Amino acid sequence: MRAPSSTTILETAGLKAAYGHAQVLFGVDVALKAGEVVALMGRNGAGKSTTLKAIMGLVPANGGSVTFEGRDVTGWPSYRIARLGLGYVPEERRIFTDLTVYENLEVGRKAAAGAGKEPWSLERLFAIFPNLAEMKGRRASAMSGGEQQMLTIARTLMGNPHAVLLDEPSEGLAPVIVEQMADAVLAMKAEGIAVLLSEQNLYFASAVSDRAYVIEKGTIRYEGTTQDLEANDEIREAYLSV
Amino acid sequence: MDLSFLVIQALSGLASASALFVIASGLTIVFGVTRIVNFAHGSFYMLGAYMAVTILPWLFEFDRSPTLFFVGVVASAAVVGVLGVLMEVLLLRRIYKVPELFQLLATFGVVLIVQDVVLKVWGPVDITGPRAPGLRHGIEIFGQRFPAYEMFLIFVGPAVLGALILIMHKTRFGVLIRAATQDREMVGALGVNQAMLFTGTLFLGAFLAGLGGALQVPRVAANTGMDLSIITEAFVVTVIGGMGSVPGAFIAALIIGLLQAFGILIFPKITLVLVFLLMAVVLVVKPWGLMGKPDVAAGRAILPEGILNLKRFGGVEKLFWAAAAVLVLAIPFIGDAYKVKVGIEIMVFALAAFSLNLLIGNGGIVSFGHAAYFGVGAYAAGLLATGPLKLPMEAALVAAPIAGGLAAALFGYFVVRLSGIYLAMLTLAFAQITYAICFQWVEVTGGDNGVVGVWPSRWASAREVYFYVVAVFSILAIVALRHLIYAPFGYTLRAARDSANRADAIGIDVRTHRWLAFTVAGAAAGLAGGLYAFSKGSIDPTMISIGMSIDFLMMILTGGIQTVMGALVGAAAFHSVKDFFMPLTDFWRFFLGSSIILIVLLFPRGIVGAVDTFRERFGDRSAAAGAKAPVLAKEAA
Repeated sequence: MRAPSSTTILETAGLKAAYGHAQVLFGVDVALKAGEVVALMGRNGAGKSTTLKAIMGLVPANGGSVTFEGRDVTGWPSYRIARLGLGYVPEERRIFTDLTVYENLEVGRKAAAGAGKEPWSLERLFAIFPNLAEMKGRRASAMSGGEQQMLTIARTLMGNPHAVLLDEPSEGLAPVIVEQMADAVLAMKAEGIAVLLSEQNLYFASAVSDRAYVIEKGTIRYEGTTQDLEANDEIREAYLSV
Repeated sequence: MDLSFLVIQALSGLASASALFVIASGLTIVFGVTRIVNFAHGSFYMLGAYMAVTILPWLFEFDRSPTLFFVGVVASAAVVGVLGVLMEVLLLRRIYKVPELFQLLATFGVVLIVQDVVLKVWGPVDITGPRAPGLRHGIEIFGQRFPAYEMFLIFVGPAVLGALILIMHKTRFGVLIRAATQDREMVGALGVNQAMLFTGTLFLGAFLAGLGGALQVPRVAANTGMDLSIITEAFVVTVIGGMGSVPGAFIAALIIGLLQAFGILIFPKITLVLVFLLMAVVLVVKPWGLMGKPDVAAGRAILPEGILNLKRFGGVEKLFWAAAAVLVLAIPFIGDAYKVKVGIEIMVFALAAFSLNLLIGNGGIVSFGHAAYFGVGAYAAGLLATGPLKLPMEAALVAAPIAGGLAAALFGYFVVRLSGIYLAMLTLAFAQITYAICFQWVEVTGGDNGVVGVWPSRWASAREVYFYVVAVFSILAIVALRHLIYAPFGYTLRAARDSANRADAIGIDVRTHRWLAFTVAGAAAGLAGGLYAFSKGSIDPTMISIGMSIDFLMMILTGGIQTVMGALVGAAAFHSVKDFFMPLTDFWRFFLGSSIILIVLLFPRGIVGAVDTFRERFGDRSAAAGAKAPVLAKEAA
């Protein structure tokens, strides 16, 4: 139904994945166009995080395919996918707590894949995340949860990605930090970075994203603009309300 | 004991600590990044020494200068570093995702191979290296002479620590190593090629081991026993310091060095025991070592290794095992004396291996020192039969499982408090304590020579009769252990293995169950040891050696760790092959090491596992039903 348009940057077709013998994804089709922000919505255990991990090669796909910038990356090791220009921000933050803020960013640093825009520098990052600048030498374990969340995004941006997978960005954060997260997502969009984020919070999703998918039991149940989803009580009742 | 003596003693303790740290730092760095405990680290150390005794005399042909000494030492270390790279590319890269037991065994396979290669290349005679130019004199300290080279060594440790801290904090490679130590999967997701990082880490680790070995050359002759003698000490240092922590290794090496230097004054015979006792105490108080971190996000999916699919015997199995039992029992009638001897040994080892798989396959308790309990049983039986008591065989065979069980209860009390690699290291340490006691307490145990004259009672003195003594004891014990696996106790152990937290939360006293299992397995191994002592007619420390523990592990691995009966098949296959081939070749270590690696790489499920796979594939319903059973989603979606 979606003819691969020249602007589609990331696409999965019939993506399947399992943990051991427990099948989690039963054929997921999502697409992300260059420069857009798309939300993958669904309840706990619906398969949101697994979809992102399977795209990134962190969970092996056992069916279907992942295409990034026209290349079939199914089964690739995650470092090669990352080097093509796909960034990943994990759900549990997974910053390196023994390392300083600066060192965390250093781990994420890599050359930009392909020709394009000005690469991310510390200065440009600190312009978006001003409080990171003040704590460059601090050990990441001494940061607050919200600061750590900003650091994970900054760390991924250091790799100069063209698209970013953002796993549950608003989960467990104070409302003021959630607002900062939304700003960060919009800042990425303004830089032309496409974002595929997994989210349970419809308010957050509608604030930042252009389109949304709804996933339930490992398959996509709905696809449309975020406004349509907000208006669609039936879908919201069936798949999103807790 | 005057002050100057104490100062000298402290200084030599510091020198040993320094040397030990250089070696242990490499081990801990490699573990931190790859999560593999590298037995072959000791082999790298030994190779460093052999490289140095080869390279240094050659360099000294040109000029006997301190500069060329250091060039030679660093060159030796660099050669060993390259060997580390080879090991990473050829072997480790293939086993990052396999259970840690298999990793340990595979690196031990490398140890065996290197031993034979060293023997072949450099020969069995110790090789004394040149002394260090410019450091051959003694330094006067409080009227006592202290070797200048030892003084130099004292400064090498801190210098290496400083260099490592610089590398770890000021270079991208170092920052990546520290990041990967914490969460290597995330490092990969950020675009870092882990293969390159791991290869670099192995170079650094092997380089440090080689450096440690090369620096020993002016103090001790290069010899073929260096690898195993250093590896246990290096393990102890990394475990006490916290695996993966370089500063932790430094502190631990200091403690160990000084403990040994002063311990030898107070308890000259049991310094080794002191060291391991310290490790046991540290692990009980701080289960991850002094500066280690709980293994939270090492980035590997941990699937249960062991028995997943508990089948009862179907018709085919009943027939097979009945036939096997009849065949075994008929050996004295149909076989010659050699087959009777091998038959006895197979039954003994089958019991020991079966008891080990009660721990590993069923309980997830990866014991790397099961020979301790086997050996304690053998020594208890042997010493009671020959010592002042001169007990008859019957009494000694009752004492053997009691002794094995008591030793296991004592050590197990500490062991079951840990898990994973720390647990494996502690079991190894306890086995080495037992070995050290039997080796060093010469008056009672006969030391290296052991004790001879451990013969069965008169009525059982004929080989064929003793065969049936062994058969009755071992078959009954195996049947009892098997029953335990199918009893609620066995189910509880498997629940605790798959998720200790969840088992705890539903009201299972995980620790006590594990402790009981450890004790029972120790008692069974003790019985096997007692039976073995009377079949050999003697006892000696090889029955407690690391090699023996590895043999038991190889048996369950060969048979199939995920199967109940695999241990028996493995014991029969492994022992008969080993017994047949060992006398035929001078390179049995090479072949044993290679076969360990091959089994790990190609047949990780063992013989019985392979048979099960075969039956699943060809549609045997009873086997296929089980194959679907294990559903264990560690992570929710």
